Amino acid sequence: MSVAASNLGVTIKDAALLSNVSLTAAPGEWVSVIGPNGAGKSTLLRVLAGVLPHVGSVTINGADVAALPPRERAKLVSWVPQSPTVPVGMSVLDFVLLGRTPHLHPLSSPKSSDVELGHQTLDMLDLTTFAGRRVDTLSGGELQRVAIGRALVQQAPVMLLDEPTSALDLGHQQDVLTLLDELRGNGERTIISTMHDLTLAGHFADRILLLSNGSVAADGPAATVLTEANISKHYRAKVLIRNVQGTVVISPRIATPSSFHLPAHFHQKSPEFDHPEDHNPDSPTHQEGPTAMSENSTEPLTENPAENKSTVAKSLVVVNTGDGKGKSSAAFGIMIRGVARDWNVGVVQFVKSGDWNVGEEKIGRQLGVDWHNEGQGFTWNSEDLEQDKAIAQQGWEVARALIEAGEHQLLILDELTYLINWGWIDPEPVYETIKNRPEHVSIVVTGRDAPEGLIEVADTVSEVVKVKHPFDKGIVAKKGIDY
Amino acid sequence: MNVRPAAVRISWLVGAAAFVLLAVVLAVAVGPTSIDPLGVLAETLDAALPGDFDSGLNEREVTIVRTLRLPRVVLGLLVGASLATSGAVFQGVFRNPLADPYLLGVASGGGLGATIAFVYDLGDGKGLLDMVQIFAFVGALLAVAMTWAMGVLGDRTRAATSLILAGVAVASFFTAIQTFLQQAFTEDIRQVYTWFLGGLATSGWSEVSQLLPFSVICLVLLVASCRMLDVLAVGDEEATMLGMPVGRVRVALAVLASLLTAAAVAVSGLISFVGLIIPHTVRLLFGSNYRVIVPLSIFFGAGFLVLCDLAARTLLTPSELPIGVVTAFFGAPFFVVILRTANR
Repeated sequence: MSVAASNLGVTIKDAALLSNVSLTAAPGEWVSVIGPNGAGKSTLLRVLAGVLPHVGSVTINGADVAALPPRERAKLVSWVPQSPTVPVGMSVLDFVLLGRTPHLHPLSSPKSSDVELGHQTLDMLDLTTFAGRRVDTLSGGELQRVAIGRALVQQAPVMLLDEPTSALDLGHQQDVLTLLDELRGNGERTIISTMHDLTLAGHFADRILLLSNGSVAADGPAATVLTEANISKHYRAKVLIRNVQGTVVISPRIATPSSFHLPAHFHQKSPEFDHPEDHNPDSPTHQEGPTAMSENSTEPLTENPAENKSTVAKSLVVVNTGDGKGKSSAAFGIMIRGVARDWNVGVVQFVKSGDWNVGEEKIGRQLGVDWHNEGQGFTWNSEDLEQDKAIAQQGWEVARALIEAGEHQLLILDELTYLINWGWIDPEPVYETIKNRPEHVSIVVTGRDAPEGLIEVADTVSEVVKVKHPFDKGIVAKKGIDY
Repeated sequence: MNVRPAAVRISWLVGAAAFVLLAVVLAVAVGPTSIDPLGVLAETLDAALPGDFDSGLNEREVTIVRTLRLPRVVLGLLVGASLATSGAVFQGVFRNPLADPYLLGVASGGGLGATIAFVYDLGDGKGLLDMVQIFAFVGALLAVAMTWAMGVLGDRTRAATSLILAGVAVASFFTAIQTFLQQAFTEDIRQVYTWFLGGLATSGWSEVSQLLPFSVICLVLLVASCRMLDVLAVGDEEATMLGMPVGRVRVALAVLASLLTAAAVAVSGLISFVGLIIPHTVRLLFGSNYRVIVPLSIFFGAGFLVLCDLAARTLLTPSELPIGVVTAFFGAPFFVVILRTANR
């Protein structure tokens, strides 16, 4: 059945939730309504279902929806709410059979054919064993499928689905959307859905309607609506759009991953780690301390033994090691130089918390440095070694991907040596990856006891030697100096 | 495929009917004159069924059973069934586990109506179509209408709370007027007081015949339409999308339940908590579907009130305890339990 809505408007308490929205759906068509939070997607569906006072008209096959009695309307349109109301104590089967309401006499009960339809629908939705479960004991995803089942047994030719897959796992998302797709048949069911997942919206829908601030911002096939410009403008999101086998794939380009917290005892229990970096608070200096980095942008330090004359290398590998303080501090000094040259600079921290590194991380992020905290979840608890190992390996994978991607001119791999020294990651691939990096990617590695293999692939290796450490006298890390 | 839709099972109905019959026989047999329960059973069946057979009771016992105890017990059955069922329906209509005829202001409305009739000597509360009962009936309906109107006007996002608050406000208002009248006409205070505490004391079958048509019609209609309460359970918006004219259904069911309550209150006075205890007990025992709760509430409400009346008659023999005292004794603690689970 065809759906036509023209010039819809909804105003509640002087706030225009929808204004001048028009939409059409041909029989069997799937139209996906997208838009940022508060754009009016759910409001539009309610208007289409005829349950919200509005201006403008909605017709289904030419019949005015608002003028139909509820019963007749429910035979034409079914609705899957975003968060269904859960009647305490009702069984899944009974809940699904509520969908038969428009087909039953008000005073009669579901017949055996209705019950059979209910069971069949539950089978289709992978809910066979749930028939007797109470709906108030279901998980969000189960409930969402049950609500879709209720709409399906309603057997209405037009289905309105409000975020039908928001609570579903990946597998069930695909199953449910494919099922709906199949149920469209040859023009038998028209589907209008709101969707947050733009890739899924674009894949399944024939047409996309982009709502923004209650108005239609774009309407058309996925390829014309799902553009970086549209999404940047209306969602204020940076995305990468690719076309993969005919599907428009939208992937986020996240500039700043969220920070996280390690347990508070991290400070006390891990004095052996170099963070916080230490400069003597009595003698603040603009010079890098003991690492004595000598390269700078005007005098590139490039000692390539193969050549007698000084040349400018495409990139360098710098290793800061030793038992003294200042390895990471020196690395972040290089970071600032990189930023000053308009480089893309990335930092991967392997054994630290976002909490702990507020100083360098804060300024790093302000400077547009691509910051990755991969130390999250370290427990410092021997019982969880396997978990630590897994986190370490995952962290290294991130670093490796960043190196190989070649999008940065400078990558700082802070505290990488521990992952190697504790046997959490296989050392050889690390050396190989660094050695075979894209030629314009410079890498700075910090951490104690730099292994031989690493020193071998490095151009610059500095050792920071401890002469004094305040922790030896029981002085704890100082904010602004150490972190 | 073996999961079936919720429905009343035959075994539950048989059990519920057996409970009612047991309550009836017990209530008829026990009293100042003890009567053989088997004879009571036979005599009751003889009274209820066409045909004539000998129950083995002597003439005096037959008179006690037929003109004193049986009318009272039957009235108890009707009032109990009516209050319990209307409580269940109110809970469904307002989607509120605390909805109860008493809490919705029905009782105080009925009380005001009855008081007006007493103090202006319009009736004495006895006999068919007495003005006390008619006024109580009108007052009860008026109170529900007011509570509902105020509840709907209130904060819609907290409809459950605002309805109960509206009930409290209406009840206080009606009680204020009622107390004023009662104090202004102190000569009628005993009559009013007795009516207020509620009671099933009868002189024959007139109250039964007054209540019976209302009860039967309303109960039949409510049982027939109880599936709609299950649809309402998913909320107004979803119920509308499922094809239910929510507004009309709600009005129709609320009017039926109010009629049922008002009819019962008019003959029995104020008996609290039956409408709360019974539906919730049924819910706990047999499940949350109104297709189960409504029919079973009829049986359990009937049997429960007859047993409460038996307690009211016998605990302080020869004097009688108001039945409202007995139901409140069981009901108040129960109310706290419901409140706790409802606020989970």
